[in-house]
Amino acid sequence: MTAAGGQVLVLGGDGFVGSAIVAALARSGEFQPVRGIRRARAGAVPFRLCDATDPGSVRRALDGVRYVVNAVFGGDATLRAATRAVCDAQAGLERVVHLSTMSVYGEVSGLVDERAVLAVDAGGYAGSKVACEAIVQTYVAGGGAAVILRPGVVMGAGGQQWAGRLCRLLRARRLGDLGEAGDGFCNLIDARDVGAATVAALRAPEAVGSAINLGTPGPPRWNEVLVRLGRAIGAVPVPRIGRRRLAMEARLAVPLHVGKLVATRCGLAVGTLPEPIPPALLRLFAQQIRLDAGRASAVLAFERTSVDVTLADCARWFLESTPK
Amino acid sequence: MIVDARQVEGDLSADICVVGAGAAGIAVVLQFLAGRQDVLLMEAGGEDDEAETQALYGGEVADEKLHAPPVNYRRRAFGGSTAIWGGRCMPFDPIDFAQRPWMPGPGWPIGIEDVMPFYPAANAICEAGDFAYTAQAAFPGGMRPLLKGFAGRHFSDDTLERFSCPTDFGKRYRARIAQSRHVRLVLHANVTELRTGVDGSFVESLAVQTLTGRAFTVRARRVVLAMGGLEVPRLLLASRDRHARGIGNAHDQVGRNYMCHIAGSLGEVHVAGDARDHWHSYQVADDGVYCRRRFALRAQAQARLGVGNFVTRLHHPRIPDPAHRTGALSALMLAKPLISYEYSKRLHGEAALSLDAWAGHVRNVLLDPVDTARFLLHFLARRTLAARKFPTVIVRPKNGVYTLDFHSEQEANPQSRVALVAARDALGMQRIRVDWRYTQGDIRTVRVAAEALAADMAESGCARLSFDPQTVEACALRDGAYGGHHIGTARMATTAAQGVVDAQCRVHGIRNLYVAGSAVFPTSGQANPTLTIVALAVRLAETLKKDVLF
Ligand SMILES: Cc1cc2nc3c(=O)[nH]c(=O)nc-3n(C[C@H](O)[C@H](O)[C@H](O)COP(=O)(O)OP(=O)(O)OC[C@H]3O[C@@H](n4cnc5c(N)ncnc54)[C@H](O)[C@@H]3O)c2cc1C
Repeated sequence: MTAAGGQVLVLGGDGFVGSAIVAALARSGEFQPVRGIRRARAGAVPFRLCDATDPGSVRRALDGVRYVVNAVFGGDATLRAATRAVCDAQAGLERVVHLSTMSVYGEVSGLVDERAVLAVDAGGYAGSKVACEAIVQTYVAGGGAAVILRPGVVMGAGGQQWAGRLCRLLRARRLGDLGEAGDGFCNLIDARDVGAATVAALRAPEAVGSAINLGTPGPPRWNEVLVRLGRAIGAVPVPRIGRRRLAMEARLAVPLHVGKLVATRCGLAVGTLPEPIPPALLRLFAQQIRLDAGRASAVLAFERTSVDVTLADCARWFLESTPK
Repeated sequence: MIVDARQVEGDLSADICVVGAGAAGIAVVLQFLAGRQDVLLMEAGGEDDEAETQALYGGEVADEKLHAPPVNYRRRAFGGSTAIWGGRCMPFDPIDFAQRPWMPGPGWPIGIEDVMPFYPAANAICEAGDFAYTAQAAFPGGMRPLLKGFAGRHFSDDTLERFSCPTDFGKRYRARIAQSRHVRLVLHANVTELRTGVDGSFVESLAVQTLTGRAFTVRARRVVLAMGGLEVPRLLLASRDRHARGIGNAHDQVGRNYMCHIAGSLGEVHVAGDARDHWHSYQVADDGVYCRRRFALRAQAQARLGVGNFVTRLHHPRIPDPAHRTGALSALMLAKPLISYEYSKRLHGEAALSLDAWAGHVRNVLLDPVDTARFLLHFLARRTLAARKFPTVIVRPKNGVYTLDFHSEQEANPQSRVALVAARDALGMQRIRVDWRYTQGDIRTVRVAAEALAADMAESGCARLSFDPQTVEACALRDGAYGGHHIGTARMATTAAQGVVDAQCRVHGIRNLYVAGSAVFPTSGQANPTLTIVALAVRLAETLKKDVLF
C-alpha cells in the first residue's frame, strides 16, 4: 500500500468512465478526487478547468496533486496530446493511472493476457490507444510510476457508447440474436468496477509499471448480452438477425455516417436518420477474444459487479431515460 | 484449428479423438475448446456437400417403402445432418427413462435426473432458447389455447415443442473450433476401422482414409464415436481385428433394436366454435423462438393403457388429395420438384397422382389466388429469407376439418436392425443394409392413443375426432419409418448381453471407447432425438473431463 492517499486529478472526469472513477475515489475515503474538465460543470466533487490537450493547462491543473487518472476520451489528436501532456508535465507525480482499452490487442482471438503483443499497425481508435500506451511506457522507462488499465466493454447506467447504443438498436430491432456473427465474447466490465479498479491501481504497489486487463472472468458471449438486454428493455420477441441483414448494415454505415455529418452541417434534424452500425462493431461481436482477468484479480482484487446486475442497471436506466 | 486430412503428413495423436462432426461430435468438442485436453475431431466430409463423400453413405434397404435408402436423410459433411434438419426440439419425458413393464426391452439404465442437468446447455447449443417446455414457463403472460375448453384425462395440451433456427452446427460453431488451440478439426478424414490393443480391451488406433488415397492412423487415449445412428454400428461391425463379430458385439447387440419413430397423419378433427377458439400454429416466445403446443399422452395414461409415448398436433389435410380445396397446399404440391427428397416425401401419395388430381391442384390455386399468394409471401419472408425460420407449413383448412399429425414411440425390436453386407464403398468399407421393422405394438400405441384423444375431445365438447381404426396401420406406414431419426443401434444397458454401451456411454468391454448420439438410446420416446443427443454429448464430455487418466 502507498502512504496516505491525496488529491487525484481525473482528466475527463465528467465523461461516463471518468465520472465512475470520480465516484469511486470519493467513496474510497482515502483519495480526494478533483475533476479535470474543460467546461465548468457543477457537482459535489470539486473541479479544475483544464484543457487536457494543452501541456501548460495540464501542468497548472496538476499543481499540488499527487495522482492523475487519464480518462480522456476523444479523437486521435486529443488522446495523444492529453497523454503526452500528463507524461511530460514533470510534476513529480506519485502515480499515473492511464485508461487504455482492450482494442490495443487488435483483432486477435483466444485468451489474451497482458503480455500479448499490441496491434501496432492498427488504425483508428485502437491505433491511437496503442500510441498512447507507448507514451506511457516511455514515461515509465524514464522513472515515472504509471499503471495502464485495459478495460473491455465498459457498461453501466448512463453509458451511451454501449448501454445506450445497444438498447436503441435492440429497440429498433436492428440488433438481436446475431447467431455466429454474435458468437464473440463480450468482455464486459461494469463502470463502477473500472472505478474500483482505478482506486486499487492507485494503491497497489505491484501494479506500477504494468498493464492490467479489466474484463469479466468467464465473459458472456455477445448474443447472450444482446438477448438479455433486449428482453430486459421489452424489445421482444428478440429477433434473430441474419448475415445478409448485418452485411447490409455494414454497407450502410458509411453513408449513414456521412448523412449525419451533412445533416448536422445543414442544421437538419439528425435524429431522423438511423444510427449507423459501424463494421468495427460488427467485427467485435464476432471476435473470439477473452481478456484474461487473472492479473486484475490478483493485483487489484476489487469486488466485481455481477453481469446480471450490470445488465439490469443498464436496462433500467435506458427505460427511464429513453421513452419509446 | 481446422486442417484437411488430404494435407496431413504422418500420423496424429491426441488425448481424445471424436469421430464425426455432426450435432453430437460438435457438442462434445465445444466442451473442450479451452480445456487442458488435446482433442481431435475427425470429420469424413468437407465444409460443403460433396457427391463423392456423400456416396460413402450409400447402402441397401430391405424395403424402400418402409425406410429411405441410407444415402438419404443424413449428410456426410462438417455439421452432419444438422445441415438439413428441421430443428424441432423437446426433451425426453421422465416416463421414457422409467421402468415400463408393459414395453419390451430393458429400457434406460439411467434416470431423467442424470440427463436433466445437461438439457439447458443442450437447448443453448441447439439455439432453441430457454429450457422452457410448458406453456406456463415459456409464456408467463399466457399462450393461446390449442383448442379452447380442452381438458384431457389422457392428454395434456400444456407441453411445447420449440424450434432451433434450424441451426447448422458446422456453420454456427466453425469460428469457435477454428480459434481453439485445444481442438483440431480434421476434414475429409474417414475413419474406416478401429484397431484394438493386444487383449482387445481398448482401442489402440483408428485407421483414417481420404478419397484422394491418403491413409494414416490416429492414436488417442479416449475415442468417441459420433457418426450418427447408422454409421456407428457400421464402424463397430467393420472393426474385427480382435473381435470376430465386431467391437462391442460379443452378444450380437450392435445394429439391433433399430428404431425411428412411427409418424403420419390420420382421422378428421371437426373443431367446435369459431376460428378464434383454436390455434394450431406457432407463437414466438420473448427469446425469439417459435413454440407450439401439441397434445401429449400423459404418463399415467401410457401406463394405464399399456402403450408407448405419443404426441399429436392439429394438421392441415393431406396435401396430395386436392379435395382439400386449399390453394396454398396445392401450390406446395405443384412445387414438389423443387423440394428436396427429405422434405417432399410427404407429398408422395400411395400411388402416382392422376392427371385429374394434378388438374385439381391447379384449379385450387386458381380459385384461391389471394390466400395462395399470402401463403407464398409468408413462406418467402418468414422461412426462405428469415434467419430464424418459420418451422413448418401451417395452413388452416378451408373446410375447418383438420387431420391429426402424430409422432409416436417405436418399441425396441431386435429384428429391426442394421447389418453389414458384402458390397463395399470407395474406401473398401463394407456397406450397410437397413432392415427396419415395426411391430403390432407400435400400431397399437397409435390406435389406442388416438381413441383416447377422441374420448378427451368428446368429453371436453370442443372437437370431434373420427377415424377408422382399421386404417391406422396404413396411415402410420404411408411414409415409412420417420426419416432422420436413427435410434437404438448401440443401445445403453447395464450388461453387455442387453446392450452395447454402459450408463456412461462407454462400450462394454472396451475401456476407452464411447458412443455419442441416438444409437445409445434404448427407447425412442415421442421426442425428436437431437436435443437429447446433445444433452448426452455434453454429459459425456463432463465424464471425460473427470477422467483420472488426464
Ligand atoms: C430431414 C431431416 C430432418 C430432421 N429434423 C429433425 C428435427 O426436427 N428434430 C430433431 O431432433 N432431429 C431432426 N433430425 C435428426 C438430426 O439431424 C439428427 O438427430 C442429428 O443430426 C444427429 O446428430 P449426430 O451427430 O449423431 O449425427 P450427424 O449429424 O449425422 O453427424 C454425423 C457426422 O459424422 C460424420 N461421419 C460419418 N461417418 C464417419 C466416418 N466414418 N469418419 C468420420 N466422420 C464420419 C458425418 O460426416 C457427419 O458429419 C432430422 C434429420 C433429417 C435428415
